[in-house]
Order: sequence, then C-alpha cells, then structure tokens
Amino acid sequence: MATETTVLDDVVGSDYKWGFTTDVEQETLPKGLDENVVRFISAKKEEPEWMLEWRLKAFRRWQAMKEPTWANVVYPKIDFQDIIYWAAPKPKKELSSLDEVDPELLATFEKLGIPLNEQKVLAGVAVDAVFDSVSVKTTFQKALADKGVIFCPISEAIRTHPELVQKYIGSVVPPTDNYYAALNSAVFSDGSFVYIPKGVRCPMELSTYFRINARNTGQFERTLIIAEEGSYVSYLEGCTAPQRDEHQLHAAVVELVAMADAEIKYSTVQNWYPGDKDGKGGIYNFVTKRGLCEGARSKISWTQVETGSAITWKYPSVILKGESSVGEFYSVAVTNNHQQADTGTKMYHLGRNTRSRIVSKGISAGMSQNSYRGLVNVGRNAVNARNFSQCDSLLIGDTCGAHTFPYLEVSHPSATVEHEATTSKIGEDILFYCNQRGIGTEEAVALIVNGYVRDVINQLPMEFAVEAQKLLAISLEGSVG
Amino acid sequence: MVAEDFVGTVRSYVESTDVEPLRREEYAVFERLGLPTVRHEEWKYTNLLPRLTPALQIPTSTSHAEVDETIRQATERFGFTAHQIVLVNGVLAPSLSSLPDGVTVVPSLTSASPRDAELIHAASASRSQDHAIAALGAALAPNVVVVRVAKDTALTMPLHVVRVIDARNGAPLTSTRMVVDVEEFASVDIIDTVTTIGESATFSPNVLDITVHPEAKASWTLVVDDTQASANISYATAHVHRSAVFTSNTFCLGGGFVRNDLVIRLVGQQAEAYLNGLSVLHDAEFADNHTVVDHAVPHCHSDELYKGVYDGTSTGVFNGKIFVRKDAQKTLAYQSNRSLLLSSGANINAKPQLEIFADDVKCSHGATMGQLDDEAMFYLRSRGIGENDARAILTYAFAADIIERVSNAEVRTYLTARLAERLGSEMLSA
Repeated sequence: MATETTVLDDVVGSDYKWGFTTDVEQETLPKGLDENVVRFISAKKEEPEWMLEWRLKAFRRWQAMKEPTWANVVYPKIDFQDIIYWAAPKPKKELSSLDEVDPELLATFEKLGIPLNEQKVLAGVAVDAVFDSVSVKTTFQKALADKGVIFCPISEAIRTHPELVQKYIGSVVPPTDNYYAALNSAVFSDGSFVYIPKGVRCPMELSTYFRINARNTGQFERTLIIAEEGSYVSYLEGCTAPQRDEHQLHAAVVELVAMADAEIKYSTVQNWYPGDKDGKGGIYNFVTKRGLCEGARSKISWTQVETGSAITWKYPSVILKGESSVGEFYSVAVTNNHQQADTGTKMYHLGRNTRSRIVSKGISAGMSQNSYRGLVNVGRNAVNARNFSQCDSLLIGDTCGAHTFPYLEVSHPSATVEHEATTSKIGEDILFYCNQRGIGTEEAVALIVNGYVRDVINQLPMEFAVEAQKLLAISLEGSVG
Repeated sequence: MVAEDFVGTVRSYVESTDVEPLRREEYAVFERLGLPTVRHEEWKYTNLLPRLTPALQIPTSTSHAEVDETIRQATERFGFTAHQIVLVNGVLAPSLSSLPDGVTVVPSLTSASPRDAELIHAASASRSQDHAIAALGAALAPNVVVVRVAKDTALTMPLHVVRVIDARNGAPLTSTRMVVDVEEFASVDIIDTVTTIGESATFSPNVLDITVHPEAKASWTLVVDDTQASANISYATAHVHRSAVFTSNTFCLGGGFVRNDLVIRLVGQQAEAYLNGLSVLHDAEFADNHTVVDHAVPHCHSDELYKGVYDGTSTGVFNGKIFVRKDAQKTLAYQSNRSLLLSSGANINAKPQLEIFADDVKCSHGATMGQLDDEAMFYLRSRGIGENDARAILTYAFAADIIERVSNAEVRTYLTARLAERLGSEMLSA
C-alpha cells in the first residue's frame, strides 16, 4: 500500500523519500500534558530560550483558564490529558503501514477526481505540508527566495528569522486570547511562516496542507503571515485526516499582519474527517484566526469552505486598524449527518473609512446544526465605517438546524452597518423543474447549491474552486431523497 | 456589595411582612438565579449594578384609598378614553380607577376568587424560570391586576393601566404584576404607561403574563416616558393559541434605564404575532429591547419591526430572537431592526438572532445602523429649513412609521405629539 505515501509524495514532490531529515527517536510522546511536554516540544524544535519562556507562560495561563461553553455546539468534555501532543512521522516504511487505515480519504480523493496529485501539476503553487506535528517539506523554496519571500515551517523560522517571529508572534492573537489559543501557544508543534517583503507581489499561490495521521493526536499548528508595505500574497490551506472512531482535536492559530497597501488573501478548504453517519469519530476543529490591517489601505480577505470536521468552531477575524483598510469574509459551511458548525467572523473597525463585507452561506443537512456567529464592532474613532453582512442558510431535510447570531455594536454615528439573513429550503418547484429536464434530484441539489454558494466560491483561487465545488457535492451526498 | 445589599433588602421584605407563599416561591427563583451581570449573555450590554442604589426601599403602604393632587394630575396627562386602572407604587388607587367587568385587582391570593387565584398560579408556572428579574417583579408586586375577558366579548374601550411611581419621599423599589386571560373569540386592547413623580431613583421590575385563547385578539401598548433617575424593567410573556392574534407596541420616549423583555410563544396553528417597537433616546438614556418569538407549531406568522433613534450619549440595545421548533413547518417569520445614530456619543448594540430547526420555513431578519441621508438633508436645507428642523423632520419620518402601527387613534395622537416634542423642533410641534 503506497496510498499515504503517494498522497504525501504528491504534496511534497519527489524529494520526499529523503524528506525526513529529523531523526526522531520516538514517534509520539505519551498522552498527557504538563510543563515537561512543553519543554520537550521546544527542545525538539531546538528553540531559543525566549520561545520556551513564551510557551511556558502561555501554558501557565492556560492552566488557569476555563474551557469556553458559549458556542452552540454539544460534545462530551475533552480530556486534555488523553491527547498526544507530539507525533512525528517515522521513516517511510512505518508510514506505509499506517496507510491502510485510511480508506475514507482515498475514496474521497478518488471521488473528487482531483487527487492531490494535481496540486503538484498546478504550477505556481508552493506547498508546505504539515503531517501530524512536523512540517514535512516546503516546495519552491528557491523561486520564492529570489523574490525575498520567506515561506518555511514556523519552527525553522524561529531558528532562522527569530527577530521577525519574536516581533509578530502573539501580536494579533495573544497567547491569553482564549482557551484554545493559549493551549496552542503552549504546545504548537509546527505550521507555516510567510514573510513578503516590501513591494513584492508573491509570484505564486502559497499553500499549506495539513494532515492529522496518527491516532489520538491533536494537531496544534501555528501560521504567521506578514505582508510588508505594498505587498500581496494569496495563501491557501487544505486539511484532511483519516477515518477514526475517536474524536481528535485540532486547535490552530493563524495570525496575519498587513502593512500599508498590503493585501493578504487567505483561503481555506477544510475537509477534516467529519465522523461517520452516526456521528462517531471526527475532528474537533477549534481554531483562532485573526488578521490585523495595520497599515492604511491594507486588505485582508478570508475565504473558507468548511465541509469537514465533527465540530467546527472558528471565527476568522479582521482588526481594521489602518485608515481605509478593508476586511472581507466569505464562507461556505456545509454540515451533514451529525456535524456541528459554529462559525463566522469578527470585524473590528478602529480606523477611519474602514470597510468590511461578510458573505456567509450555511447549508445544513442530515441531523446537523449550523450556526453563523459574527461580530461587527465600530469603534469610537471609526469615522465613515461601512459594513455589509449577508448570512443565508439553506436547510435540506427537517431534522437539521440553522442558526444566526450576529452581534452589531456601533459607537459612531457616521457608520453604516447592514445585516441581512434569510433561511429557506430548496424549493420543490425548482427540483421538479430539474427532474422534468432529466436532471436527477441529487444532481439538481448539487446544481442549486453551487449556484447558492457561487459568491463565495468565486473568491477562491480557480484550481481550488473546482475542488471545493466537488467537495460540496460529496458532503451533501445522500442527504436528499 | 451593591448587589448583595439589594438582595438583602428584598430578602428581609419577603421574610418579614406577611408575604404569601407564591410570592416567596418567586423570590426563591430570584435568589437561586441571582442578579444578572454583564457576564450573562442576555445582559451582556446591560449593566444593572449602577441602578441598584442603596437608597432603594420597598414601599410598605398597602392602600391608596386617598391620593394627593400631584398623583391625580400625573394620571390625567394622557386623557385616553379608556377604563383606567391607576396603581401607585404597585397598589390600586380606587378613587381614580374604573374597573370594567372581569378586571380585578387582587391584593392577596387568599382574598382572590378561585378562578383568579388559578390564573395567577398558572401564569407563574408557565413563565420561563430563567429570568431573575421577572421572578423578582412577581415577588415584589403588592397587587396583581387580573384581566379576564370572557368568551365572545370585546371590551368597548381599551384598558389603560396607569402606573404611577411616587419617588418624592425616598427611592421606591416597586413592581406591578398583571395577568391577562383573553378567552375564545374575545378581544382587548391594553395601554400600559409609567410615570414617575419626584426626582429620586426608582427601580421597577414589572411582570405581565398574557394568554390569548383560540380566535381571540389582544394588543398591549407599553409607553415608557420616564425620569432620568428611573429604572423600568418589564418582562412580558404571551401565549398565543390557535388563530389568535397578539400585537405588542413598545415605546420608549425617555427614561434613564429601560429594559423590556417580550417573550411570545405561538402555541396554536395559524397564530399571529406583531411586534412593533420604537425608542427615541437622548442624553445618557438607555433602552434595551429583548424579544423572543417562539414558533412552536406549524403555520404561524410573526412580523417584527423595531426602530431606534439615539442622540446624546444614549445607548440602545436590541436582541431579537426567532425560534422555529422542529415541527413548526410553513412558518413565516420576519424581523427588522433599524437604528439611527445622531451623535458621536451614542451607541447601539444589536443582535438579531435566528434559530431554526425546521426546513420548510421562510424566515429573515435584517438590521441596519446608519445616519440621516445627506441628500435628504440637503433637499430640506435648500428649501430654507434650518438644520435642526431638517434633522427633526427626517427623524420624525423615520420614527412615525411605528406610531402609525398603533390602532388606537388617541394613543397615536399622544405619541406623535410626544415624539415631536422630544425631537425639539417647533416646526413639528406646530
């Protein structure tokens, strides 16, 4: 069986065979979390002293924090001592034996018709693959280095560019921000680091591919993207995990910093294993993502297609600090079977003439619950702030739920904030129309759904838009008729 | 500390006087839940603590057989053609009141008729047990106003509940409790106003429970137009049965602190609910409107429109929830919240919320926050209308649309005049 290997090989390129230079003595740490685990991870990564201190501080704060319960999701209490906080791939032979437990993923790729294979072919996509806890390989390093772009695993950046990491890490999502951000700050194992120098337009799409492979592990990656003045970068992350009966935790932190006139476009196609039809297994996706529009006229745009995970709990946010900065959030969240999603965004308008746009499309099917939770905050000094939010929900079947929790807080009279939300189902007349013309019900639903989510899909880089569309169809398979 | 002193005041009142078991039970609910703080999701933007001054005292007089001239004048400012029920610090003033058939003001459950007692108990039992201030209101209310509209009857005149809070000597902590039961095919319009005399602080948590039986019709118009030192909280629950119609109109034309909770449960098919609200605030006034429309059964309809105008350093809060339960197919539910911010010190916090568990429904909500249209202002100014008047005219146009939804012409006239007065434009008042 070489499926897993193929997947990875495809992601990281043909150099893969020798890809693992880290000589790991043990594949995983025992379950459990204490200061020693934090120290172990830090030592493994050969981190400088300040980084270890930073982690320990976060860890101590985390111990004093309580797990949040306000989200509209239900799940058994997580035993944080029952998770493995460090799992690194062993040499290739060992990986091959793990492959066999991954039929769902393989089947999914086959159904998609675009195996990850294609990602390699899609020239212009540089990939950083994070497999369990370590970053495996970053491709296209050289082409990027010519432009001065730094794109490497964050663990490497901590060693090679400590001044940048130290300056920005935790500046947007402080370690004490929330329970899972604190946990992540203490035990994050890897992730990507991107630095775009002044005036550079990143020559290719950057991409990270995350994968949780080992059993009982949690994945805690940390991504930091810094776009200097006048630069541009488009970044895409994709996620998968094998099929397992127990739940696994994914608690990532993503920080974006955009200086004056810079633009960061961050796209996510999240397809973590959602659990089986009875809600057994699946990933808990508890993620903190936040961008800071530091400079004037900067722009941060989040696009997400969320089809996987047993529970999704994330709110990619933008702090609009720079004058005339722009924040955007485009989201499609699909839940089927027993999936639960509580997702949305936060837009903090601090600077003058700041604008934000929110388009959220929720689709619930099966027994799932899908919530939009968003905040638009217009501060005291945000003269002429402008926001438009649109949250639509589509219900397929009568056993699912769709919920909207928008918070609008306005403290300046020149602000214009608009929010609208609708909930409806796919009309029987529309289905009938399609059936009449020889389009089967399931295909018709896919057709309608694709039309419904078009506003968001159009924001994705083209190659991924195709993948996302197919993913949607697969996620909703079996939900009609 | 403040909160503990407050709870202590209430506790000693409930324990020392001969307060009835039902009120003690309500107090127990309040004590169990505790005073809500801003850490409580439903009170996130609403801080009660500054309103709980140690000066607050629970008035002990149990009869207002005779009232003084100031109180009488305070009740006359409305002049509606209505059955008037005057309550001074929650206690009936019989000399100013004219109770129609079916309306009783019950000083204690022991003296109440069995049917009234049953209604009061049923209302306490059916109210949601998660609202501390509602339980507090029911525990404190010295009288219960019981309105029973018999089957097939329509009251010819509306009922006007005139609540007068006497804050001339000390800061009263007082409440009014109303239980309304509109039987099949009956109809009633209730006007509910609150007026404080005197400048001391007040704290008044009021409770209203309405049941609208099949094919019946009820409307409730609440007008809060009160002093800066006043704190008015109202918790109203309506159960609307098959083919019944319930309309609520909530006006806040002044008041230091106003919080209205309105919970409408549509429990019979084809039930309809209309919710209208208007807050016009200035200075440091605060108004919080929380509404819940619970579609429990199929084929119901709800329509909600709340508007707010915020000037000075006033703060408005709106939280509108629409629940559509699992089997409530064919639900139509609309909600809209529009706010106008007129000054840089004003704040608005809105949370329109949909929770939907049925698929064959049409639900939508919208919320907007903005300012007066520059072009409209320019149009008026270019025709020789001064800036203040132009602003007032446009604001008036924005707000009057809610007043027009009130069916009673006298109430409309009164509200229109008060709105014009409040916008401070002579042009409008004339």
